[in-house]
Amino acid sequence: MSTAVVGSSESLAASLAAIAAGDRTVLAQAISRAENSPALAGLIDSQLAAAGQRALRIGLTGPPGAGKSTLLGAVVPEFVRRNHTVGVLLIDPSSARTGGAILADRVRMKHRPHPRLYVRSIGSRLGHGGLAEVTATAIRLLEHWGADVVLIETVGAGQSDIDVCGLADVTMVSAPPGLGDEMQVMKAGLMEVADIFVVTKSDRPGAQALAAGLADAGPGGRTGTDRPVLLTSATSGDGIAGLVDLLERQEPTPVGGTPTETAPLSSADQLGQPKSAPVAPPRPVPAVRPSAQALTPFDLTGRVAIVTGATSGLGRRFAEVLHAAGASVVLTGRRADRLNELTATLERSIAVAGDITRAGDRESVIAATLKRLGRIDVLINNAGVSGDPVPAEHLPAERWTTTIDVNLSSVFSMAQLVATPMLAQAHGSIVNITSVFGLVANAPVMDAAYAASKAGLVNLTRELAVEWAKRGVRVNAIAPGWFPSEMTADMVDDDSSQRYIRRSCPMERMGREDELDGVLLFLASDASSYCTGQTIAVDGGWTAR
Amino acid sequence: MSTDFVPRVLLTKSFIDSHDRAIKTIALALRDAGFEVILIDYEMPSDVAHVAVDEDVDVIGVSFMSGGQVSVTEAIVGSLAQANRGDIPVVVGGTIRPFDVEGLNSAGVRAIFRGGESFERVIETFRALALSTRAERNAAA
Ligand SMILES: Nc1nc2c(ncn2[C@@H]2O[C@H](COP(=O)(O)OP(=O)(O)OP(=O)(O)O)[C@@H](O)[C@H]2O)c(=O)[nH]1
Ligand SMILES: [Mg+2]
Repeated sequence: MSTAVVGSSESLAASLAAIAAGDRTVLAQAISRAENSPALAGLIDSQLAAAGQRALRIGLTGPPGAGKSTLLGAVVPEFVRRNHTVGVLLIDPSSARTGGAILADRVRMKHRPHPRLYVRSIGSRLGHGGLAEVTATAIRLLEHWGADVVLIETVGAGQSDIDVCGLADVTMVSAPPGLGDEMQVMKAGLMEVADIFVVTKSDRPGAQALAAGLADAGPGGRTGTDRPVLLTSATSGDGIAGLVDLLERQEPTPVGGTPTETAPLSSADQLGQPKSAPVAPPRPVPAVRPSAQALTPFDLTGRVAIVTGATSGLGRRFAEVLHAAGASVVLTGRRADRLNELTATLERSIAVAGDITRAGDRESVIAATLKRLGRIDVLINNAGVSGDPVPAEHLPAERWTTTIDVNLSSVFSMAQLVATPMLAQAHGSIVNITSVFGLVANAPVMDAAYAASKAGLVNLTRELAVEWAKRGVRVNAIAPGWFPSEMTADMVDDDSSQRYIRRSCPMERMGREDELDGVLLFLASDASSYCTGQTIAVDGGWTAR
Repeated sequence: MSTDFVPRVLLTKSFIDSHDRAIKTIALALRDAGFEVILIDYEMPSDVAHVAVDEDVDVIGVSFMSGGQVSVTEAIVGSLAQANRGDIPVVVGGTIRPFDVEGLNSAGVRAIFRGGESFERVIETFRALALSTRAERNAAA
């Protein structure tokens, strides 16, 4: 079986011009042709060798199943978010017998398409002039297309895979905890090529120990200490921003230079201040040496949080707390003037005015957030309404409908909307603000609609939590008791209300504004990473008896 | 200048569909017949066209185990045309109900595998389609 390959110099020149203009179809076909014809690949190489464009070339290798593709699925969108143009080559072994191959890395990488991202799966096709040659041509074509970062995944299984690492400016060797004896194999083959060690699946037991082992092993004739060891979890997103910070600080080898000298990676480097990202400030470089770096699980630096009902007392407080913990915050509410007042006091905040019960308004909150901040990590579903006490038998139908609509239906719709980006990045925390009256009856302050809506929220929280548990998105709820707010303003200095609170609340008082801060921060951040589907009552003991 | 041609196939199913037995079986059979088989779980039908373009595949095989047979196929074919790669043939397999067949044919699928076909027939269909895509493309270039 054979087919002619068009390789005349005019048609090649036209193809290269189209690729430089961004034509990904021509780029894709040029890579195929180079794969099928070493002669054409050589021609492309000679045309592009002097072209000047030079990307940062990052190799990623490690034992089968180490989590390489999944890691790329987290790292690549982060590069794209930071305005890089990214090329990815996913190399898998071809069958020596038939030449066929299963190229399945994309299944794990799971990225969304993006105009500044080109991903290509490559079979190692032994006997075709060598894997490294074809890969080098593909890299050149990606650079010609405009990539300033090229990532290459290869299984560190054989010599030809390891040769591919020679093309990279910086090589990451990944290993998950729990490999056992396979670590020995790794030590023999892969340790020498590593510039950076990445302990993948750091959410699993043994990760810290493996990192410590890699840090002091010093194998391959190189001391361990001059090579950074980073922990990442693609599931939780931990360590990803820090890894990208570190990679961004690497320099591509200049054109014409030999691909040997890379910018030194010192341990001081890992602890240094990360470069600032164009959109949100990056999170600090995460745990490198387990002993040396304190974990700050409550830190929200670099995260983006949406707070609904941010014009209310509690909503405003929530926004301030998340902001103080480092998050960029998106404030929504109906009163634009109040929102603007609040954004003026919060450095990293934007306001999107709107009515949470309107689908169009909800969608614009999400769209504005993604457009301006690039991601969504936290949603605080705080907007809610209550009314004057009315006995159930007299509760007007429209009061029922409005209450359910605001307190329950729009909360669900918001959760649905943020789920798409959160599931895609396999990381997110949704916090629903319910009420102790979602757990016990509201009476004597009768409001059947409120009680039903808040109770609905408690089990909605469980349902969403379980549905999304495996995919990195956590859903929890806070059930506040009586707190001073606009809704409860009348009660604060009303005697009978105070008597009612003393009678029903073991602490005999209302909550203080700051007494929700801790639970909010806990649920919004990685501090609660193993906690989902829970409703935490913050009620002075109200529901405890 | 001539060389061996390694046909490239994209096999895909919805990310929601957890049934991957059939698609894996076909993937292995195609690999053993010398194909490069790219696997993805699409989130949206347009993802299939996007990946087909970037991966420069010669054939697309879509597996259906639950719903969407006709509408998803139409959307995939539509996005391929939009990406100027309407030349890439689409074949479907899996749970194809009798009433899907007409819609699939008018969407332009080039083959329908409803189960029970021999591996040889499936592979030969993929190979013939791949060869004609590649030949046309090389003629156009
Ligand atoms: N718990 C956990 N599991 C992960 C993580 N990253 C990957 N995995 C799982 O590890 C398995 C292998 O992941 P891949 O990304 O395919 O690994 P790979 O190194 O690319 O594998 P090959 O390309 O086949 O060598 C999958 O089941 C992933 O879901 C992580 O951060 N945490
Ligand atoms: Mg992989």
